[in-house]
Amino acid sequence: MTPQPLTLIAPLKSQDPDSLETLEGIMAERGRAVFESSPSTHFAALVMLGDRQGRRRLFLSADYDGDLAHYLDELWRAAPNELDAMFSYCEGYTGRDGFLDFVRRRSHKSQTYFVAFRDETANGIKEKARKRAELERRLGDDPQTVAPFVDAVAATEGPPTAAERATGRARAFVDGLRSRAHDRFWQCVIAIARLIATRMGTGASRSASADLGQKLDRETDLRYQRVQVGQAQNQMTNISWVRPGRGPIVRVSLALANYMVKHAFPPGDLAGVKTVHFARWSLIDGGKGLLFEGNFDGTWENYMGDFTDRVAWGLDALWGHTEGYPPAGMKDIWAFKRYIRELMYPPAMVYMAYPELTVLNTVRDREIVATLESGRRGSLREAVSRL
Amino acid sequence: MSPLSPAAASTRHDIQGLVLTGYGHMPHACYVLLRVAEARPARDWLAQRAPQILTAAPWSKKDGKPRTALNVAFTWTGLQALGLPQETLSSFPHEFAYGMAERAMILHDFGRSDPKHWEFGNDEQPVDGLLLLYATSRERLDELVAAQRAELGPGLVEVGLEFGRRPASLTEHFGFKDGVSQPRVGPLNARGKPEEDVVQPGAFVLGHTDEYGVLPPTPAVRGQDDPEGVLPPFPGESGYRDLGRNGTYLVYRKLEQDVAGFWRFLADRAGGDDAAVIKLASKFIGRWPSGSSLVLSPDRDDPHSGRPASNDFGYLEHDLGGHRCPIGSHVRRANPRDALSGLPQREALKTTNRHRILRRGIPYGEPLFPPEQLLAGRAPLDVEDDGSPRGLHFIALNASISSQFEMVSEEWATNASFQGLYDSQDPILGNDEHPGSVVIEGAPARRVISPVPSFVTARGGGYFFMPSMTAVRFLSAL
Repeated sequence: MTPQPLTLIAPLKSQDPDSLETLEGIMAERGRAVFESSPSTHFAALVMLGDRQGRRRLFLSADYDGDLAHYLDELWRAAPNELDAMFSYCEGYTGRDGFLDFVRRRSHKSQTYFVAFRDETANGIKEKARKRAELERRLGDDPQTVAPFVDAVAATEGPPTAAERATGRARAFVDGLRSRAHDRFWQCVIAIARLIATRMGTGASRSASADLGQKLDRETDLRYQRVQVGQAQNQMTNISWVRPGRGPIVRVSLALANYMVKHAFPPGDLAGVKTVHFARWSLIDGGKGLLFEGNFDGTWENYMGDFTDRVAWGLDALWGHTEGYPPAGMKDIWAFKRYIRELMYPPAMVYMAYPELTVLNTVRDREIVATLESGRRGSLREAVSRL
Repeated sequence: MSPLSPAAASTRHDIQGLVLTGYGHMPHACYVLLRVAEARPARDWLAQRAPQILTAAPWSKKDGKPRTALNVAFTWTGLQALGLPQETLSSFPHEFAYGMAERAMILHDFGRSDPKHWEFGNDEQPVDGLLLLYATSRERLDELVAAQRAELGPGLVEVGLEFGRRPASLTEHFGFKDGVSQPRVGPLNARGKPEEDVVQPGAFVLGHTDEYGVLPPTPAVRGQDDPEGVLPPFPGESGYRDLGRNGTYLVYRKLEQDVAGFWRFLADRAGGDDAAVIKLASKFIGRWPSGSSLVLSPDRDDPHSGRPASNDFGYLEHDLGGHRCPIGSHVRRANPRDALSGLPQREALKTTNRHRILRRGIPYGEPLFPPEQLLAGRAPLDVEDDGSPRGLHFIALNASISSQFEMVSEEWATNASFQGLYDSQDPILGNDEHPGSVVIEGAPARRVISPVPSFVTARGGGYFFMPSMTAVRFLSAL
């Protein structure tokens, strides 16, 4: 069961600055409560988003398990007062009873949706981390205690039989063949996609030139810094504007990208970038706005760098058709960072269900737990060596 | 040594010397921290410094190596105080404009390292400029410092004076050889280095192509603000001039080291003889005391192998799992080389090389124990703190503070989840607010040391712009 995206954008009843400030205050201070007691939420964010005319609107983003009706029910049970306090500022909101309809009317489909672990629920990810931590706890910190622990278990298992060894070797051989064939196939698909993407991109032909800097906004910069302090994960929201006449090609690019991110890469891996939990692109405002919402590990600097280093071809094909995109493409990283920065909205609230776990942590947790639970002889020793 | 191209030679006349050399033959340094009191006399002072600044021009055979050196750099507030127009000030990168103290969240300057406790570089004791003085001997340095202090005039106020000395052993105070791995700056000085250590000049010098194949961001001056046309044209933008070309950004941090605390902690945790303590300390640092590599020589220090500061190694092929050099060790965090996020070697090197820094640090304070002792295999087990401060004047040069120094600091060095580790920390820098663990990978299982206190405390610092000679002329004529 793959997690689902929720991209809810609700216009506000009033653009009065005082009312906007009060609402943003509610989002920042009480928004967390909506998700904190929701076991189905992986990530959520509340953002005061703008539109083309600069009018503010409420953006609720979530990546959740299960179906929408159950999910909204879960949120209402957790924090009815908070939800009501926020959405009473929104046009068309009628309270809890009509909320599912309200959400359906106001939410947008994601044309491209990347999920690091398509087969994991939020609870599953946390449970694997818990099992790994439990193994760590039982081992203790000192290798002196590890060897007796492992040996004691190994003694009850006994050495593998000749048949088991032969089966193990055969399985490794078949797995190797299958994985090589799988890799080859997808390498071909990626090469073709790259070719198409380069064609569909802006050509990125112009050479880069130095840029004239950007305006200083201390307050906003500090807000971005605060999001990433004290946890492994980070968040980014931005809207870019599709250039006139480029709508159809953007839709095709998004569809291709969606196919690729669903099928072409192993779990936790987005075209070689191993720091992305969720990433989604949604066309909004009649297809003119391209909303991006992403959850990633580490710093924004590293995130931008990772994408430039690994998958510039893909992002040029998506964002290359939007206004203000650097003529030399993403490889002109300084201009690209400025382009993104100017389109970003700082979140009023970000919720992360497992804020201390990076994608690489979860990859390790999955391997360790799978090894432990495989029931194979020697699996404990192997799991311990992976810690 | 291959001769420099004419373009490279002329560039070197425009670059301040510290960019291309750490002045290895001048082990004595003094950093004069300055505030700009009055713009005009401060600019006059700068004009008078111009002929004294040591550039990166190759030293002549006739005169030999210089016996003293002088370099200058300014913070964003310093450039503002000198009278740089607002439009130019706002064309500098954000992190430089905000300054180091405001980046405390990114640099993990919490607890004892909180800028509010700093000696300089915070709101109480702001710094506008840095005069860097170097000499071959302490006497010569003292003469230079006295002469320079006498010439500050009404334009500048001295807010601090920091001395440093690089010992002949090239060790820092914990006793380990420092500055072993340094990138070389593209065609400007690329002789005799492994290919992966040669980095494009734009990574360190503005106005040149960087590791991305583009020009790094550079501050712009409107044409009418430079009527004489002192500055070179702005690349790709008519009507503007380029203030940054051949300049760089200098990061300065005064880092105090708790040497006795470090060795006491290790002696306690290693639970063995001198060799065990030194081995654990080396696993923390990521190199042996002599600077030799844990990857190439996993079992013992190898100072006489003929490659004492051996730097020609990667982690991917022989040590992906960190059994030789722990993944979370200080040196491996600062430069993960070819082992990054499971990437193929070439891809990993491409990424790590995009975040390299040039280090020009020099220790301060007297050593707590003789550095030869460690090389002889004796750990300073019974060393007591003598109450006098010691540490490192950490200096890094880079073309983008946010993408190089800050990226390395936040994404690698202080990152609790570095490379898939759990709740870990840099074994040396630590984390005063939330002490984490240090993992020593091994078989049959890793060893976890937790919590590990912080052995380094930030005492002050700043982000500086080190202008080219051309930009120095422009700034003094504002």
